[in-house]
Amino acid sequence: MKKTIALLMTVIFSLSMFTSLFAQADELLIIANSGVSQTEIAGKDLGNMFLGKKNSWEGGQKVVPVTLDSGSTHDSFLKAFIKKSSSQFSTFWKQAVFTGQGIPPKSVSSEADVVKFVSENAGAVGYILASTPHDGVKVLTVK
Amino acid sequence: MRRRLGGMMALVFAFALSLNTVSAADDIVIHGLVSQGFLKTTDNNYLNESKDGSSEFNEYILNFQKNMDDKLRVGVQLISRDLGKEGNNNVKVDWGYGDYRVNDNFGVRLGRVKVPFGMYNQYRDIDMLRTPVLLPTSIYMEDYRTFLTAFNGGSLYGSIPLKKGSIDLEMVVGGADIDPDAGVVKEVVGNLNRKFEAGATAKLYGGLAANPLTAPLVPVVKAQGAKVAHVGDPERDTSSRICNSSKIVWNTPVEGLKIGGTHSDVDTQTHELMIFQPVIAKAPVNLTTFMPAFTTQVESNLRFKVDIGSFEYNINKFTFAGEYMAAHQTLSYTFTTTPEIASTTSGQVSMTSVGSYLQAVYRHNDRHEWALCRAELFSDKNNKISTESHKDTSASFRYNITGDWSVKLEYHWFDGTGQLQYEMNPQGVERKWNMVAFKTSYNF
Repeated sequence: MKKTIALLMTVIFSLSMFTSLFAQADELLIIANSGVSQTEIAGKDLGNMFLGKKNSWEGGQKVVPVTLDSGSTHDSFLKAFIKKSSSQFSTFWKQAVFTGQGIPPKSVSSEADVVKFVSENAGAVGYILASTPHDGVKVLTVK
Repeated sequence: MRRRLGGMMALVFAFALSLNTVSAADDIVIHGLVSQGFLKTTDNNYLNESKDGSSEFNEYILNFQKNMDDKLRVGVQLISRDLGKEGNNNVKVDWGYGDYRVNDNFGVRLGRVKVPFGMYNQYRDIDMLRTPVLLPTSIYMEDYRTFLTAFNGGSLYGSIPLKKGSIDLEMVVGGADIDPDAGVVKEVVGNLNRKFEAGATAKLYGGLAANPLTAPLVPVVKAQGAKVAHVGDPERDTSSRICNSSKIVWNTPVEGLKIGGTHSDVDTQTHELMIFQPVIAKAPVNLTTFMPAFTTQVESNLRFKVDIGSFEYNINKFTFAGEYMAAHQTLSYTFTTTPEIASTTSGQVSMTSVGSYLQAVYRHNDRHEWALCRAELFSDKNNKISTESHKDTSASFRYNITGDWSVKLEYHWFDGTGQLQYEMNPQGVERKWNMVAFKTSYNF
């Protein structure tokens, strides 16, 4: 009986470790152009950058956000930092566009494209899964 | 010329569609919208010749924007729309301005700027931003849109972050660009003209009766329906003084809850030149022997000050919204006739209208959306009779074929005739009537 319990505990522990590692691998990373001087950012400020409400980094550099067209990474980011669904986010920007209140962020179809855009554009900020290769960009810590 | 402009717009549209939303970081960004609807009513004509069913209900929008530098953005939106006798698909600048953002909290716009009026006026023509076909008819009256679309001037706007939540502010100042053929302009002047015609007709009979030679004719011409009426089309132009409209929205600490208010002050003038003459209504017989034709100048000033309180609460798959409006209107008018038949007549009418609605929207998933709305408008809050009131209960269904293409179906149960125009319903109106509305929209 004790052996069975110990085995069960081991299995549960292993599973939880595996899940934790998996979650770690799928963690969202906030990446910025290497020229951005900030190393950390408040979650609210990050969300406002993608809503056109915060347009400059500390120090005055222009923020250039880039989004994914769709997908689970996009949905997770919107839910975590903007508190909107993908369709609500899309509606928000359609409203801004057609009332002349703003231009939506550039959007791309893959996380590799996010990394490419962020690495090539001064002031750019985007989001990817941690498992996506992201050489040449800076990872921001979200406060 | 209008056809040429329409053709040009179609070409630009096709070009823009082929580019499918140009959007590099600081290039010109192009967006657009195509929307086509259909209205069918029982008993009364509303917005267009809806009793017979009418597809004169569409919008085509093209939008260009460009970031000039870190702080300055310029943009213009062209609109071509048709709703019964209004719009007729002429191409107009919906808005167009330079937007200079001083910092993250404040900015200024100069040019033609959309007017804040209630929560939703600034995007009333953008069909895909809402579940219903029509915005609540008690606040967003199509008849009055000509006064409230955009002001030629400028605006100050800002967002003040609070410890919890934030406050958004906007104040727009400028001249209203009023269409002299807009239904409400014709309706206001038309009502004045009908009153004037009645007065002049009484004068005609008075003149006939006062003269012993023509007195015996009075019962004869009366029996034949003689009256003073305008002949031909009037010459009309409109203008406005400096108008203003301000909006404040508190994004409360309760997630999804916004509470707002707007105040608008619109001051407009209409000048109309008409020729009146006495005629026999049954057959167009000219009676100028008894009363010469005369020219009338009508100068009218319509000023309205509108206050609206609003809330919107997004929770899970629901959106609840409601607004209350108090509109204080003053109409001053002067009739001057040449030669003088009736002495110059002038007067002033003041009235307070109140409107409100409650609306619930349910977004079942990304494809299906439902809405229910109850809207009420009393043109004169002190006289809530059916001819001056408008009660509208509606149910709407929206289906999103894709993220950018939607179809909508809506049914309205109306009670009251307060929003019906005489000009569109000269044969009289029914108090209880219904409407079905359909609309499909595509945007890119």
